[in-house]
Formats: sequence, structure tokens, C-alpha cells
Amino acid sequence: MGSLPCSTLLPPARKQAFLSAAAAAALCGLTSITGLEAPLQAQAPGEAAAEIYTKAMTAFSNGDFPAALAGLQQMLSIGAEGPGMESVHYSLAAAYFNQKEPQKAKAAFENYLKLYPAGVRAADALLALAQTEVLLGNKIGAAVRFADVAKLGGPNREQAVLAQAALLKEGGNAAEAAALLQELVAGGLRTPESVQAALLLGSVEAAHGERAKALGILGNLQGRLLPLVDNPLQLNALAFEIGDAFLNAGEFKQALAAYGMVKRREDTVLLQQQRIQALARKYEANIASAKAEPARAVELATGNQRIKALVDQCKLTLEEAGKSADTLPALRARQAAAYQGLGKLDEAVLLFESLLQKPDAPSRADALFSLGSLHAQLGEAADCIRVLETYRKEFGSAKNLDTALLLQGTNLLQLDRPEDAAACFDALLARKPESPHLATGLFLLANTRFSQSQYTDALETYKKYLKRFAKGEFAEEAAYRSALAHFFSGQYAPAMEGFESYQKAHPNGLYVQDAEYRIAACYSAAGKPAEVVKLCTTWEARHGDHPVSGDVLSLHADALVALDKREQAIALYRKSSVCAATEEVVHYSLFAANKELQRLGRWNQSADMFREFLAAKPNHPSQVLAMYWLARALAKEGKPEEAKSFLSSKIHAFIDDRSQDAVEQLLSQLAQLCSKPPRPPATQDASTPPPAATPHDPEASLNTFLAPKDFPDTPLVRARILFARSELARMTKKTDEAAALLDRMCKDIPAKALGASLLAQCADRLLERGDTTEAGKFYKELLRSFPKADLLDYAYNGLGQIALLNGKPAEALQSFEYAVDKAGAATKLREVTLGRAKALLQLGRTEDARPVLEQVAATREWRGEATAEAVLLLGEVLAKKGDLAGALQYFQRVFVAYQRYEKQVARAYLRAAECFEQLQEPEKAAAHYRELSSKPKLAHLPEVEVARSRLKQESPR
Amino acid sequence: MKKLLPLLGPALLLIASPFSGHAQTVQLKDGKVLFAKEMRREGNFLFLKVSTPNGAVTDELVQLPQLERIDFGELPALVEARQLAQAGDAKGVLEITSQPAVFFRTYADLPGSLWPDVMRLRLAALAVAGTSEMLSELQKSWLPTGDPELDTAFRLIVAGQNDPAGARTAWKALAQPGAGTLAAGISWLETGQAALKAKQWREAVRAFLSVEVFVPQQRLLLPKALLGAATAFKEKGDHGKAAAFVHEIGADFPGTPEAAAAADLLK
Repeated sequence: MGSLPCSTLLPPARKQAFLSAAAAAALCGLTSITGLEAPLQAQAPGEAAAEIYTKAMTAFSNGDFPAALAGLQQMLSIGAEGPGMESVHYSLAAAYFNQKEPQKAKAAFENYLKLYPAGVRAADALLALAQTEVLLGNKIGAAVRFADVAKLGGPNREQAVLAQAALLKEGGNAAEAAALLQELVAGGLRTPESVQAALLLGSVEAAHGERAKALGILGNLQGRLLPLVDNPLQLNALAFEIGDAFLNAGEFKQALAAYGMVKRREDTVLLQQQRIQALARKYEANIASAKAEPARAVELATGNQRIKALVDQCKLTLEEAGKSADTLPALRARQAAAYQGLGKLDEAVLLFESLLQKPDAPSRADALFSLGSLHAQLGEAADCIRVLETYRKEFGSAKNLDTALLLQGTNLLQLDRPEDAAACFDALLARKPESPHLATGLFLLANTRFSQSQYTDALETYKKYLKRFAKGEFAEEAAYRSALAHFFSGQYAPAMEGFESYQKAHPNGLYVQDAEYRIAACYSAAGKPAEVVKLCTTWEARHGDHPVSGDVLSLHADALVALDKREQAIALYRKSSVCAATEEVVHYSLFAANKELQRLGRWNQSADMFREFLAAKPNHPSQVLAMYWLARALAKEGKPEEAKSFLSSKIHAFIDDRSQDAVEQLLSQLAQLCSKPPRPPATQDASTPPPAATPHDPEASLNTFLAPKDFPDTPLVRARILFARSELARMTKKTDEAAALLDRMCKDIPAKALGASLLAQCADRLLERGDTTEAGKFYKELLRSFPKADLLDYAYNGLGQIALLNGKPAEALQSFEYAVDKAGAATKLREVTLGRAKALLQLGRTEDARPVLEQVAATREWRGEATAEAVLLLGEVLAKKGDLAGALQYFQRVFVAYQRYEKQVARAYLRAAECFEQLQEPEKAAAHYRELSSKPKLAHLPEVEVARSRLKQESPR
Repeated sequence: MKKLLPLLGPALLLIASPFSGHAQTVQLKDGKVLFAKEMRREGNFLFLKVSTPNGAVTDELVQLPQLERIDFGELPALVEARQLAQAGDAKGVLEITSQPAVFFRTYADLPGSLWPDVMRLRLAALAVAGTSEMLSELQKSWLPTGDPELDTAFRLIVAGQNDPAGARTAWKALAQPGAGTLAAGISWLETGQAALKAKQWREAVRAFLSVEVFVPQQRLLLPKALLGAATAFKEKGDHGKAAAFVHEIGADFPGTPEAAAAADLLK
């Protein structure tokens, strides 16, 4: 039996031994010839013997071997004699063979050969004897007999050599087997036997390590030779065998070449059908020839019996091929493994996806799992999650569920979905408590809770981990993070204890420096700056240049400030701002130093510090803020012109770059500096009157530092200059001019030319003017061109407001949710929250809207028109519920407490009047209409018109 | 490159045989086997010059209904064409198979004809390197091969020329994951090119890699597919993968126009 790797994945037909195939061919010859041999002329006792013989041979032909045996034995027992008895002895042996009684078959063939050593079937008998030896397990004896048959030559030679080679291969003698087979194929692959030999040779070469030769043979058997292959399943088996040999040897390209020659089941069936048809045509041709040439009748009939046996064999194979398990999943899995070996994961993804085309494919679970793992390796977190989710849904108790949960959890973390990730880790712990991934799952769950600032849960989970896996892979980190969890929860005493115990347990641990720093931070939290200074000094001396050193220096400086040692603190802050590893610490230290310098009035040092910072960290996100402070320091130093020049130079560098949206901040600051008159120079003598001040012209000042002629004439530059002028107008209290300049920008400059900040401002201005179509275009351009800008909440909020105005509350709600989820709603939280409440109200979800409105109304920082509108809408909520008295209280609160917000006040009066009407209190209603109509400030509002018309309707009553 | 020879009608007396010097084995239904030194077809008859065992050459006339099969043996031009196909040389394949195509068209309906074998090579080559002139010639001279895979590929190639909208629909239908036909391979190539034009890099990568994965035996399609994948990866910003494909094209298909284009891609 040929050894085929991964046999469990392959259909049974693959397991056919090459020897079996050879043996079957030999046996077929033996059987059929026996059946068709020239009729025996019974010598005695006459007619009866002939009749017995005919019946026996008919039974033989029909495959009824017990009946054939009975008849043939009867022939022997009645003492029939003559040359025709040769056929009886041969047929008897053949019948035993076919009856699967090899011992009796062996004896009968030996008897035949003893009686007829030169008999017409002697060669066949020798071949059959070799076969019986195989069946009896005597492989050495069989090999000797096959060799004898081969030596004899004749028509059985190729079969004998094939069988001998198969035995040699099975016995591990690949070299000898290969030599024999090479001899068979040397004359070219023209006969089915030589093709069979090539198949076996390919298998021998593959097993022998001669993979390239085997692949060459396999390649030769493709194309035109395919119709000569007796059993295409064997060809597939060989392709698998050679591919596997390459795969195991790490030769992936060659493995793919071999796997590429595996035929699909439908192709195998088609090939076999074509072969059967070809054999049938040959059969018919032989019959025609026999009629035309009677002298060749016996020869052609013999040939046809061979063909018939081959057809039977082919039909059997066809049946097997039809029934056999589909090899496609096994093939795809191997191809995917080879592609993975080549590092080509995208290709492996396609292979597994192809297996998922049929929803009920038996390999679906494995394919889904492998696909999910591949997406994870490719860093395609969303795809990984989607596929593994399907895997879990469809195969909830699959063997790889634990790995799937772990992978899904880690990928969810990558997508910043900690809550879903935690659910996966929780499921892993609950459903697969014996999983080898348990430790990792537990640790990641704790980390997830930690990242969500759920320190109590995180702490609990780290404890569980440490209890169960005290010496686990993550034990050190878990111990350290436990202390950190206390620290971030503000539990400094247990945090300190944790850090100290970590230090003891891991004196050379990864987090020792950080633990020492955190201990100092605990003292800082406890209000012990002297201790902090001591610990930080020790830390700096011990660890020096370490990634945490920036944090330590700033902590040290904070303690010195607390001890009022500001000079030393400034020096440490500045050192920290230079060496800190994170942008946040750089920012903190830089501006903490600036604060102390301001306190000491050292504007020149402040300016120097920011100059150094701007030069040293040109890509730091605090660059613009530093420019701002540098300009401010210069102005405070009494050098406003220098400050303006500095700002002008920086603006010049970025003004035509659409991606630099910080330019607007500098323009705003320049406008501010230009808006103020220069300070008169100090006079030496108090008695000397100051020189007459020239009137300050802010616009001229701005034009000096922002002269359009100094910049390229592009739409963006024009827009930015308009913006600066608008800012100046706003700062000099020319609000109409400021608005007009903004309007001009909206009208003259196409959205595609503007940077993020101006897009946001123009869009808001357009919305304020009620031009929702144009505003929508600007918001969409902001989203499209600046998907990572900080100002995206402008766009989402604006689009939400437009949707509300257009009566599309569901769309609005979605936009407001995006403003929070995607853009963080840093600037527009108030508008977004109120918008959300309005959308909910429009959707009829009053109960959902109410707490949101209460939140707006209660947030002190948002106090203003939003508060007034929230209060008004709270009244609407109650009115909708039928609580008119309650609603009235809210409406009255609006026009009493928020008189500045005319629009809300007018609406409140109107709604209060309407409530009174509903309450059947027309006098109170009329009083409210009258009050609304009488307010001159509200006269321009449409609500006043409504009130007046209702008063007119009321008067006849 | 030589032009495709004009095809002659079935009444051809004797055409330039790519088998000069090779005998063809003609098997008859009555079991008779003839070794033809020369062969020509006229309607339903084959006129043969047959070698006899004593070395003489006789004329034989065979009626086609008597014919079992013609064994044309291994044709050197086809052996070479397969080698060229292995190297991805589509133009070379078209050139070397032009005469065999003309020859075997005459015998396309006879058992044993190598018409399908020749067209298997030519259709793939035409799909990647066919000029509109060649495709018009193909359409004029086409005879069904009896192999549904090849006949579908022919219709697809011709549709690409005559009915682009219909072809696009067909590409979509044929480019199914796992499909292993020439027509599927052509469809992936075309959908990949369309995705490249539409700057849909991920879709382009998937289409081009499908050629590599599901129809690796169609070597003639591979250089274009790999170049497409390299381009799409580059545009996606995955320069490592793009470089790996460029290297692969250079190593596996040197001398092809795609190898040169791939080398330029990373410059």
C-alpha cells in the first residue's frame, strides 16, 4: 500500500495501492481469458462432461465462482481427460483466486504448472501465482515470482515489472523500484501500462526525495496523456503526494505547482467517462474486425475480454470518483499552507473564501477559522472580527472556539472596541476554562478593563491571574499593573505598597524605573514635596537618561514649585521639555515653565525658551501654541512690532498650505495685536509731557504685516486675509463688517480651496444665514478633505442641524451621534447635545429626549441661548404628555429668566398662550398674546404676527 | 511577429503541414492502422500516402465514417509553444501556433485532432496579447472545439471586442471564487484592470490574485495578473508586497513586457 500523507482528508479511492491496481489488471486478464478459452472437447463420458463444462464456464463468466468451482471439480471427479482439461485446471485455480481463497488458488496454479509446464496459460499462471503470494502476505516470494514472469517476457511482462516495482517500493527499496520503472517508461508513455508505470515512478521518486523528478513525471502525465490513465484518482493521489513532499520540505512554489495538477472531481469523472467511451468504441471496432477477418476472431475476442475487464474497472473507479469525498477542501487547505509558507497571505485568504461559497460545505468551520486567523495576521481587524463572528455564530462549540475568541478580542481592542473585546475574553474564560489561551485571555481582560479606567475590575482580574498563574508569562506585568490600577484610582497607599512589593520581587524588572517614579508621585499626591524632591534626585542619579526621565523631572519641578524654589523648578521644567519621551509631557513642562517665568515677569526668558522649542521640535503639535506665546512674550516685553513681524513671518510660511489649519490661530493673534494701539514710550522726566499720540489705525497696521502683495494671489490666501480682516473687525467691535467679510469669503472662495478651520467657520456662517444648501457643501468638503481634522464635529453638527431643518430627524440623530463618536464633539458638544434632543423629539421619543434636555439645561458651562431653548423644549415634552400646567411653568421660565434670547422668548409666549387656550383660560391666553405683541424687541419675529392675528380672532368673543 | 495565415476552406487539397517528416497514425474503425506520410482532406475523404512494411509508399483513400482516430503524435511546434506559454511569452505563442492553427482547423471535427490543444494555447495568448486584427480573424475562423471551457473563453474574448457591456456582465458572472477555467481567468484579469482604473485597489488586488490562485495553469495570464497585483499593492501603499510581486515577475517571466513594466513600477 502506498503511504499517502494526510489520508484522512482524502477520499477512499486515493488509498488504492499501486500494487492493487497492477494486480487487478493481471487478474482481469486471467479471468477473462479463462472464460473465453477455446471450448473444451469433453473426451469422456461424452455429452454430460461437455454440459458440465459449459455450465461451469457460464457460471464463471457470470461471476458465480462457487458454482463454477463445483462444476470444475465435478469435471475432475468424473475423470475427464484430454488436452481440453488444461482449461479446467486453469479455470479452477482462477476461480479459487477470484473466490479469495489464495491458499487453494496457489495449490491449483502449482498443480496446473506441474501438469502443463509449457501450457498455453503457463505465463498467466505464473503471474497469478505471484499475485496469490501477495495475497498470502509473502511479499518476498511474490517479488521473486514477478521477476520470473518479467524474465519470461511476453504480454505479462509490463504487469509483472509494475507489480515487482510496487513491492520493492513498499519494501523501502525505492532505488531498485525506480530502476525497474524507468526501464518501463523509457520507450515513451504510449500504453496504459507505461502510464501506470510512470504514475508509480512518480510516487517512488517523491518518496525517495527526488521531488523534482516526481514533479516532472506528473507534469508529463498531464494534457494528452490523461486519457491513458486508468484511474485518474491515482493521478490526483500522486499530485497530492508530490505536493505534500514539497510542502513538508518547505519548497512551497513547487508544492503549488504539484497541487495545481490536482483535478476537480467533476473533471475526474469526465475523464473517466471519456476513457470508458473510448474503450467501448474499441470494443465495437474489434467486433467489426472479427466479422471482416474470421481468422483473427479468437485474438480479437480475447482483446475484447481485456477491454471489457478494463471497462468494468473504469466503471468501478468512476463510481468511486462520484461517491468519493470532495478533495477540494483538502487541496485548498494545502495550497493555503503553501502560500502562507511563501508569506502570501492574501492568496491564502482567497482560497479559504472560495470554500465558503457553499454555505453547507463540510469544511466551512475550518475555512472560517483559518480565514479569521489570516485576516488577523494581515492586520485586517474588521474582517477578522466579521469572519470570526460568523464562525462563532455557526459553530458555537467548535474546537477552535477559544482561539477564535482570543483573536476576536485582540482585534476588537485594535479597533478600539474595548467593551466588545472584554465580552470575548469573558466568553473565553466562561466557555473554555481549560483552554491553553486562558492565561492570555485573563490578562488581556484585565488590561482591557484597565484601558477603560475600570480599575476595580482590572485589579480583581489581575489578582485572579496572579493567583492562578503566579509564574505565568505576564505575572510581572500583572503585578506592576495591579499597583498602577491602585495608583490611577487614587488609592496611593496600596499603590505604594504594590510598587514596593514589585521592586522587591523584580529588582531588575522591566518596570523598576517607572515603579520608583510612581512611588515619588504617591508622595506628591500625599503632599510631601520634600520627600518627592529626595526620591526624584535619587532617581535621576540612578537612572539618568531613561524614557521616564521627562516625567520624573517635571514631577521634581512640581515639588520644587510647592517648596517655592521656582528658579530650580524652571530649570527642571525646561530640561524635562527637552528630554521627555511623550508629547504630553513636553507640552506640560514647557507651559509649566512658561507659567513660572510669567509669574516672575521674565518675558525675555519665556521668548527664548519658545524660540529654542520651535527650533528643536518643528513637528510638535504644540508648535502653534508656542508661536502664540512667543509673540505674546515679545508683546509683553514691549516689542509688539517684533511680535507682529514674527507672526507675519510664520504666517507667510504656511498661508498657502491648505493642510496647515493652525494658520488661522496666528492670523487671529496678529489681528488682536494690530487692534491695540502701541504703548507710548516711557519718558525720563515726569514733567515732560508725552508727545502727541498719532491716532492708531488697526487696519493699516494689519495691512503692514499682512499685505496681500507679499503673498501669492490664490483663493486660499485671499480667504485667509479676509479672515484676518474679519477678526480685526470683530475685535474692534465692528460686528457687521466682520460678518460681511465672512459672507464675502463664503461667496467668493470655493469650498475646495479652504482649509479645515475656514471651512468650518464659513459653513457655520452659511447655516446661521439659513443657506443650508451651501452650508451642506462646505461641511461635506470638510469631511471629505480633512477626515482627521480636529474640527469634524463642526461638520457632523452642521449636517445634523440641516437634517433637522429639512425634517429628517433620523438622519440628524445619526449625524449628532457621529459628532460624538467619531469627532469627540470637543467644540460643539452643546449644539450636538441639544440637536440630539430635538431629533429625538421630532422622532416622537419624548422620554429619551427629556434627560438630554435636562442635561443641557443643567450644564453651567453651556448657559445661554441653548439653556433657554432646552427649557422651552422641556415645556414641549410636558405639553405633549398633556401636562399643560407643568409645561406652562417651563414656558414662563423662559420669558422671565432668558429675556436676552428673543427667538426663544417669543416662542415661549406663544406656546404659553396656546396652553392657556387649551386649558380654557382665554383671558390668560389673550394676556400672553398681548404681552408678546407689545414687546418692541420682538416685533420682527413671526410669532408676533401670529399673536396679533389670534388677538383679532379673539376680540369678537 | 508573423501574421496569422488566412484560413482555407474544408475543400483544401494539401496544406503546409506542420508535421513534415512525421508520420501520422490513422486508426480505422475496422482495427486497421495506417501510417500516413502525407495526408490531405477533401470533404468527407482523407487522401493518404501510406508507408508499407516493405518501405513502399501507396495511396489510400479513407472515408471519414471509417475513421476511428488520427494520432498526430507530439508536434514540436506545440511542445515549443507550451514552453513559451510556461515562460509567459504570449506573442511567441501566437507566432508559433499560427501554422498549426491553420492546419488543425481542417481536421477540427475529426477524432484525435489537436485543434482544441492549439486553441487552448492561442485563446489564452490572444486574451493578453491579441490585437483587434487578430481577434477579428479569430472570430472569422472559429470552429467549436467540443470543450465547453474553450468555447466559453472564445465567446468571452469576442464579446470583449464586439460587446463591451455584455462582456462586463459576463466577467462579473464568471469571476467567481474558486472557478478554475480559462474564461474565469480572463474575467479576473479584466475585472482587475477595471478596478485599477476605478482606483479600487483592494478589489483589484483580489481579482489579480485570483488568477494566480485559481488558474495557475494558465501561465500566459500570469504576468499581467502579477503586474496588476503589484500596481494595486503599490497604490494601496503596500510597497513591500508590490516589490515582492515585481521580483516574482522578473524571476518567473523574464523578457516579457510585464517584467519590464514591473521594473519601472518601483522606480
